[in-house]
Amino acid sequence: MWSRFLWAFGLTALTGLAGCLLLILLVDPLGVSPIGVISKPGYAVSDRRFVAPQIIASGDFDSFLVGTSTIHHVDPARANSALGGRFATVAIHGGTPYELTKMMQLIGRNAPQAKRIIIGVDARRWCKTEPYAQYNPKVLFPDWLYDESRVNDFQGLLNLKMVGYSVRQFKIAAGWRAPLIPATGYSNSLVDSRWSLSTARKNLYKKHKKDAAAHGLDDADEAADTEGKHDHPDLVSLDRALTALPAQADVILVVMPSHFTALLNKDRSDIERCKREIAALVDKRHGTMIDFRIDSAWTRNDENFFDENHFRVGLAEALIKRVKQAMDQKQDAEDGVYRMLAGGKSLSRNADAGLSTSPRR
Amino acid sequence: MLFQSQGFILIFLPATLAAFYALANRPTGREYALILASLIFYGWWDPRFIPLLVGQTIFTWMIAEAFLRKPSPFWIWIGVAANLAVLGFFKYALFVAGAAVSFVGLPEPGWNIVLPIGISFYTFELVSYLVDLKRGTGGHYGLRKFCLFIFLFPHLIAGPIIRHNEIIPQFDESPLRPGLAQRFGWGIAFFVVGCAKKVLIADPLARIIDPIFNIHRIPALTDAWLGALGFTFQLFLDFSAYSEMAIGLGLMLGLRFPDNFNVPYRATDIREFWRRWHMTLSRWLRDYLYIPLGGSRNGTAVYIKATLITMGLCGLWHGAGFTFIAWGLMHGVALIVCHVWQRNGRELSAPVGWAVTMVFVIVGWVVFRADDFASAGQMLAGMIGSGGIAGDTRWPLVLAAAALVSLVGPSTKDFVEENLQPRPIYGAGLAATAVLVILLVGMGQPQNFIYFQF
Repeated sequence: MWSRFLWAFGLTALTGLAGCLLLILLVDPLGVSPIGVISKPGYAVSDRRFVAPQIIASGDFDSFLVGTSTIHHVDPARANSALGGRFATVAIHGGTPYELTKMMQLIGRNAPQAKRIIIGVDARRWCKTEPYAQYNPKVLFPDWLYDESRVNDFQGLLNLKMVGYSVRQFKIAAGWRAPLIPATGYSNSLVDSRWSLSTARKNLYKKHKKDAAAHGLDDADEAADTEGKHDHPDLVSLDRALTALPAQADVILVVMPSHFTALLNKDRSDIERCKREIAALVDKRHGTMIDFRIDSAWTRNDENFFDENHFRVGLAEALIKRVKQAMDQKQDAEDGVYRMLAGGKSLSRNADAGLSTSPRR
Repeated sequence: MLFQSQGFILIFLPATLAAFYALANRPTGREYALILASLIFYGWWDPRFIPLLVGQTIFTWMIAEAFLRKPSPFWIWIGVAANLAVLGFFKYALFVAGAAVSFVGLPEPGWNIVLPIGISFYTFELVSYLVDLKRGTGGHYGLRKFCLFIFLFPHLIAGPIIRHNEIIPQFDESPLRPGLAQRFGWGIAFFVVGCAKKVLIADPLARIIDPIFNIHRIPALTDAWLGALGFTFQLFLDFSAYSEMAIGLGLMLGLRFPDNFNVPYRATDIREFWRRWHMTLSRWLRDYLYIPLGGSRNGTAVYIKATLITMGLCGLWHGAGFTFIAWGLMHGVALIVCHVWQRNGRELSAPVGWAVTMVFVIVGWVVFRADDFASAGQMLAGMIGSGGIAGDTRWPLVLAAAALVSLVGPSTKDFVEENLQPRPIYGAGLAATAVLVILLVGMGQPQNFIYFQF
C-alpha cells in the first residue's frame, strides 16, 4: 500500500514540477530559454527591468531610449519619425546609475549594430555628491539578466510568478489579452486625462512657494553661495557605460527638463558643474549633449508638468522634435528652450542654467 | 541551506538520499556519506564554523575516551566546562561585556561575535553525553558514529535535541529493513506538512506582525493583539515546522527522532504547556539541570530555587538578553504558582485553565519577541488599550488558518501516523502541496527559522 502511495507522490511531484518548468521554458517570459517557442507581440511582465534585456536582444530595434521615468514618456514612434530608425524604450522607473550603467553595457554587448542611443540624463540620479544607492529598494534588479553569463539566467526560474507570467505570455501570444508592455517598451503611465493644473501646482510648489519661486528668489541666491567642489562619483560609471556603447552609434545625452522650481534647489550650482563634467565625458566620445534643464519658457510653464521632474506627453512630443533640431543646427535654441553642452555651439554652456531673477514669460 | 529552499529539496536531499541508499548495505559507507552530506549542509551557511563544530565534537569524544579509560570525574568536568565555555564565548561574551560596561557607565563595546549556527543545540547534546558517562548511562562509541550523532544534518541546526542513546544505536539498523516504504511515506508526509506550515502560514504571518513589533510606540488595541497573537502562532508554526521537517528527514534515512511538540496551545495549565512545548529541551533541562538542582522532592525552598534557576537559564539559552531571562523567570514563577495551586487540590475548569494559560503564554511571547523591555511595555500597554482601539492593520485570513492549525487541528504526528491512509490519492495531494511550496519558495529568499538565532 505504501509503495503505491510513494509512486503517486513521486509521479505527481515530478509531473507537476516538470510541467511547470517545461511551460516556463517553452513560453519563456524572460527571454532566457534556448527552447522558447512563443512569439512575443508584447510582454507579460510589468517590471521593465525584466523586459528591457528582451527588447534589446530581440533584434527588432536599432535605436534605444535609455534613462529613468523622465524619458519614459517619449514615444519611440515619435522618435522614429523625427530622427529615423527603429526606436524602442528601455527606460526604467526609478533606475539607479548602477542599473542604467548595466543597461548601457547590455546594449553594447547585445545590440552592437545600434545606430542611435538617446540617454535621458536624470540629474537627480547622476549628480549626487555621494554614490547613489546601487539598487532601488522598492524593486528587484535582475543582475543575472544583465551579465555575460547565460548559465545564471536560469536561477530562480522555477517559481509561481514565472508560471503566472508564462500563462499570461501565452494568452498574449494567442491574442487573448493585451500585453502589459508593448514590444517597443513604450506605455504611458502618467495618463494625460488624469492631469489637472491644480494637482500639478500642488506637486510643483511643495518646496518653493509660488510667488517666491516665480521670481527665482527662494533658495537660488543661497545656492550660489554654497557652491562647493563636489565630486560626482556616479559619473565614473557613466563614463564606463558610454565607453561600452557601440562605437558607431550616435550617442545623444539629453538632460531632461525639470520644472524651474527644481532649479531653485540648493544643489543647483553643483548640478550645473555636474552637467559640465558629463559634457566632458560626452565630448570624449564625440557624442551630443542637449540640456533642457534650464530656465526657459518650457520649464516655467506649470501646464507642462505633473510634478517637478515628470512632464506631460505634449512636452515629450515637442522634446523629440527639438532633439532633431539640435542635431541638425548644432547650436543653442534661439528661443532658449535648450542649450548644447556637447557636440555643438553654445553661448551659455558655462552659464548657470540661465536662471534669471525675473520670470520668463 | 534551508530545508524549504529549492536547493535543498531539489538537489541536496535527492543527492544525499541517492548516496545513502546506494550504500545502504555498507554501514560504514552510508555513515561516511551522511557525515559528508552534513558537513556540506552546515558549511553552506558559513564554512568558517566547520572547524569549531568538528573540533568541539572530537574534543568531547576524546574526553569521553579518557574517562572510559580512567573514570575520573575530572575529565567530565573539563569536558562540560570547555563546551559551556565555547557556548558562553560565542553566545554570551558580548552580552556580559555590554552589561558590565553599561553598569559602570562606559560605552558599548564596538566588537561583534558571529554566533555559529546551531551551537546551542549541539553543545547541549555534547554536554548531555558527558554527564551520562559520569552517571554510567553513556555508551562507548567510535569516533565516526559519535560525529554522525552530532553532525547529522536533519537535527544539527535547531534540534530536536537528541540523546546519544536514542540515535546512535539506530545507525546500525539497515535502512532497508522491513517497513521502508511506510517510513519513507511518513517521512515525506512530515516533511511536506512542515514545509507547508512554514511557507504557507508562518512566513506570511511574519510579514504582517514584524512591522507591528517595530513601530516603537504604543500600538492600538487591535494591532497589539494582532501582533501578539500572530507571533504566538508564528513561533509555534515556525519551530514545530522545523522539527517536523527534521523528523521527516530522519524517517527518510530510516531514523526515528523524538517528538518536539504536542499541540502545546491546548494545554490547560502551564506545567502541561511545558510538557508539550519544545519537549526535547524541556526534558534536557529537567534531567540535566532541574533534577540535579534538587527538583521537587526536597522541600519547597529547593523546589523554588531549582525551578527559577532552570527557567532563568532556559530563558538565557534562548538568547543573550535580559528580556529572555525575564521571560524564563516569568515561566518559572508561573510553574511554581501552578504547582502550589494544584498541590492544594484547587482546580480550574478546563476552559478557564486554557484561557488563563494562553493569556499568560501570549504575554510571555510579547516579552520574548520584543527587542527590549521598553518595546515589550509598549506592546503590552497596547494590548490593554492604552494606544487607542482601532489600529491600521487588517486582521488577515492567515491568522485564522494559523489559529485553526495550532488550536483545533490534529498534531502533525497524529495526522501522519493515525490519519494518513497509504492511498495514492493522499500521496498525490501531498505532492501537489509540495509542488506549490517549491514554486512559492522560488519566488524569493526563503525565510530563516526563528529558532536558528538561538
